[in-house]
Order: sequence, then structure tokens, then C-alpha cells
Amino acid sequence: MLAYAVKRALGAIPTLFILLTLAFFLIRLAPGGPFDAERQLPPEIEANLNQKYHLDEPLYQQYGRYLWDIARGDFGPSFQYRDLTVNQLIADGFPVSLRLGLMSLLFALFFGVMLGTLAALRQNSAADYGLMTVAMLGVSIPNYVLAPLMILVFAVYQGWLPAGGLGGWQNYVMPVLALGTAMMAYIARLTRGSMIEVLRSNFIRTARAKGLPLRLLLFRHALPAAMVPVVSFLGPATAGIITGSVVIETIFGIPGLGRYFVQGALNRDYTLVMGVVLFYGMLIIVFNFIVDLLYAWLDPRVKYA
Amino acid sequence: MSTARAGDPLLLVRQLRVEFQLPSASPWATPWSKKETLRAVDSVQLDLRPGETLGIVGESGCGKSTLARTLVGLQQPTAGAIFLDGKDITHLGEEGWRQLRRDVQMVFQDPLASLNPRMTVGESIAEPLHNLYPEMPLQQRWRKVRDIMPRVGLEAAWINRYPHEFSGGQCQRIGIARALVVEPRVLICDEPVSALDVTVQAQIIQLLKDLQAELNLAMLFIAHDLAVVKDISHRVMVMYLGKVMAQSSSKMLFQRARHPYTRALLGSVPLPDPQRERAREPQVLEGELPSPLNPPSGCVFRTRCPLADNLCSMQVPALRQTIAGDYAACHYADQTP
Repeated sequence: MLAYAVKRALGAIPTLFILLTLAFFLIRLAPGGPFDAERQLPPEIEANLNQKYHLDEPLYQQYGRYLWDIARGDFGPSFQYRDLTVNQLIADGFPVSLRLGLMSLLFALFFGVMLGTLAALRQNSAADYGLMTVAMLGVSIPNYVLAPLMILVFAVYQGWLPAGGLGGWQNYVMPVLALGTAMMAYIARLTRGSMIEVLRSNFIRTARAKGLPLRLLLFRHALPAAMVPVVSFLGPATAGIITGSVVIETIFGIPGLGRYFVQGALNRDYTLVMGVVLFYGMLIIVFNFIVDLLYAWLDPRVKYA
Repeated sequence: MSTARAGDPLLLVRQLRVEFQLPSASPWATPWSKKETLRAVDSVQLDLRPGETLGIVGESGCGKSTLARTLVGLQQPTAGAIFLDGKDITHLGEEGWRQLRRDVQMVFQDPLASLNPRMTVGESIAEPLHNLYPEMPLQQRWRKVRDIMPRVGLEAAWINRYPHEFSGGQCQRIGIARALVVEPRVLICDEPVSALDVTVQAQIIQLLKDLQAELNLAMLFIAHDLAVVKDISHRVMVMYLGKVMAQSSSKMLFQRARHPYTRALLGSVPLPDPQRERAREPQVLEGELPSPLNPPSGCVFRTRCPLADNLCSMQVPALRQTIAGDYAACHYADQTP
């Protein structure tokens, strides 16, 4: 188990290296630089700034310097938020993003699995068709459409919920819904499909013949088997939450990592963008590792060595 | 249908009918159009005594598995009655059947697929106890599991293994242990050996025979292999398109079958002696099994029967006694040589 984890961690290094290299050169290919947006600076000051942040060095030297810093866990200073390092910004924004992402994921999992199971139990009934139509709609509506619509209805017209910012739980309702709805709808469809298949399988018939009540039949026998495709989806779902949070945090003005990422990209804040990209990359790798462990837990035939 | 066996029947089935409503196959069908009715089991009667095995044979789709599923409450009958120990259990509903599963258990066809791959053998065998005897102390339950495993030929040390670590025959032993751990009085085996190798088949059949004698089980044994049925059954029932064609003692059925369908089935079993096999007149059933959605009028077997005539298309033959202990549903049962 520990050996497997170490193997996976070592395997992640080349992936991260490629990610870093691509991101490093791509962001520098974009026109403009970190200090272009501000008032016209005197050439001396600009030269000073460039020197301080080593932007006057040739590209390969900058790349090498960055690699060396990263290897020591230092993401460098932010170009935009001059008093802060990228490490500080990530430490600042990540807990907010994590909370939002986890809540959306739990919301999507709980309701998706519940609705999918209900639909499977009442296969081809009006309830099933109704749920699946709504789910299709949920999958089809992008979050950048859903979020402004919700703000319009619940914040502007009704005034029930705050339109943005972070305060109490009310601030989380709309972002969580906007981020989680499509995922919930997708999970509901996945769950329905696999649940129908599992409910038809022989070992479920055996369980019924043992005289199990429906509750045990579902929770002990059917759900773990039906969860395998849902668990597979959790990998891409995390990536979806990360890209989604970039949009949602910007729309709702939430001071999370996603918003730093967008502003960093707009301001050509090279180090900030790089830092967030690398951090997201690691996050996805870690999450995929967790998903693989979940497989082994769901199915004793899966063994990792 | 009295046989020489003493004692009242434990399981009694009268005029059992199971129908399925299928959506029309027509391309113009809408969800509102009339459904077609498939009668999977039609007017089946049977009785089963403790210590007795009734074999049920028939081609695929003759309704034998549906019958089995109905008898363990996994399928609702459309009409007719089922009695267990004199008590009407036809319309028990989910909860009533749950209680009844202490008495009626089932062994299924595909042994590996019938076990939850996420549960250890011990958990699988113990689950009916947890469920049906929640008041039983945990230690006693596990002792029962450990006791039953060697009795079905499994080592008690394998208790924490998973189903995929076992062979098909061993999985079926687990399935049998799982069914017998609650000490049922009726055991319904739905083709328990048809997925197994011939040598393993013989072992499992022997195991079932031994356990039956030991526990005085009333056993219903479904198969499509006549040789297997002959070996284990006291009496045999032959089904065709949901109906009972013939019923008689195992010995009688194989020696002098009265029903033309039974004879055709027997004729399709190869003889072990190659010389006799070559000399034998081949008896192959002509034609296809008719669609159960649209069964023939009169006798359902008449479309493939060598004896069929006008009477057979007009009148449904009743199941009647030909000679003592032998029943056949055929107008010409007495005329067969």
C-alpha cells in the first residue's frame, strides 16, 4: 500500500514537469507583460522592476531559475500583489475554493445518487422520465448561464440571497448550486444506468431470496456495485469543479483560488498563474489517486501493488 | 395425485398461473396500446412432501424458472394458489415472504454471479441469519456458518475469502450453504448444475442428495438434463410452454413414458452404449417451439407431435392418470406402445 503510494507519487513528477514547462512557455507567449497594464512607467523604473523579478534574463535562464525554486517548494513572488508570495496567495485562496468545491461535490453526489437510484427503482415510470428529463436539462445548461440566472431571480428580483461576496452560509447557496447542478444531473444519469443493471444481476436476486428488506438490499448489495461508474467519474468531476470554480468564483466575487487564477492570467502575473496551474495539477493527481483507492475499497478483486 | 409416500404434502400448488404483460411488438404501438399477455406458467399443480424430490424438466422457455421464482416469492402469480404446510401463501406480500424465507430457500443457476463479489464467503453465508434471525447472538451465527461449511464440502478456513477465489463448483457449494444455513424445509434448485463441469455436477448432485436425506428436505429440482433429473428425483414433472405435460415416478417415466413429448425428450438423450446408440431410431422433434405469446389451440404440443390430429387442436387434454402413479396430458396417452 505504502509502496504503491510512493510509486504513484514518483509517477506524478514527469506529469507535473510537462505541465510546468507547457504553462511556463505558453503564458510568456501571450502578448504583453506583468507591468504593461499600469500607467506608463518611466523606462528606468520598468528596467528596475524587470531586474528585480529577473525578467531581463534570457528565457532559458528564467526557466531554470523557476525550476530550481519549484524544486524547493517556492512558487515565487506575485507580480501583481507585490507584498505577497504565490505561496501565501494559494494558502489564502485554497481553503475558500476547497470548501466551495467540496460542498458542490457532496451536494452533487448526495442528490445525484439519490435521484438516480429513485429513477432506477421506478424504471420507465412517469417519475423516472421526469427525473431524467430534468437531469438532461441540468447537464445541458452551462454554469455560466445558470449562475447569472440564479442571481437575477434569487438576488435581484426576490432578494432572498446575497448576489456575491463571502459572509454566512447564504453566500454559499447559489455558488454551490451553480457549480454542482450539472454534476449532480450527470451523476443521477450514471447512477440510474448502473443501478438498473445491478438490480437485474444474479446476486441481487440471491439477496432477495435471502429475504433482505429493500433498505439492506440497496445499501449493502446494490449501491456499492452501482457506484463504480460514479467513482470513475469523480476524477473528471474534480477537474470540472476546478474549471467551474474559476467561472463561479469570478461571477460571485468569491476570493478563492479560481478568481486569483483569472486575475493572474489577465494581469500576466506569470508566477501566480504558474503556481495555481501547478497546484491544480497536483490536486487532480491526488484526487485520481484517491479514486483508485476507492475502487479497491468497492471491489475486493482490485488489488494494487 | 397420491403416491406411495407417507405424510401430508408440505408444498401444495393449485392451478398456478403466471402472466407477463409485454408491450406490443407492433411498430405502430404507443405506450397506450393494448399489452400482449405472455402466459409463462399455466394451470400448474404440484405437491411436495418432506424428504421428497420433484424434478422439473423442459426446454428453455417452458416456464420452469418462472415457476421456481413464483414458489419462492420472487414473482407474483396471476392466479391460482400456493400452500405451505396448509397455509395459503399465495398473496403474502414482501414482508410475509421475508418471514417465510426461513422455510423456503433457493439455489440458483449461475453460482459465481449469484454471489455478491464484494462480500466474503462467510458474510454471504451469514447474511440470511443476520436478516432472518436478528435475535440470534452473533457468536452463534458465526458458529452456524463454520458448521455448515464443512457439511457442503468447504473448508471453514476459507471463511474470509472472496467468491472470485473459488471454482464454479465451490461457488455452488457456497450457494447451497447460504440456502441451508437457515434450515429451510423446502429447497428450490433452479438448474443448480447446468453451469458446471460434468464431474462437478455429479459431486453437487450427490451433495444435494445427502443433505436432503440428512435434513429431510422437500426439494424441487429444475433442470433441462434428463440424466441429472433421473439421478436425483423421486418424481418428475415435464413442462412444455408453461403447462404440465406429464408427471410420474422417476423410474416409471424413464421406463415407459406415456406422453409423446416425454418420449421425444427421452429420445434426444444419447445412450451411453455406442452400438445401441447407432442402432436406435433417431427421434428428433420437428419444428420450433411455438411463441408463448400465441400458443396453439387445444394441446400446446400438437404442432410438433407425431400423434396429433383434429381432436388435439380442438380440445385441451387434461392431466389424467394412465397407470398408477403416472399422469399424462394427452388424448392418446393410452395408445402409445
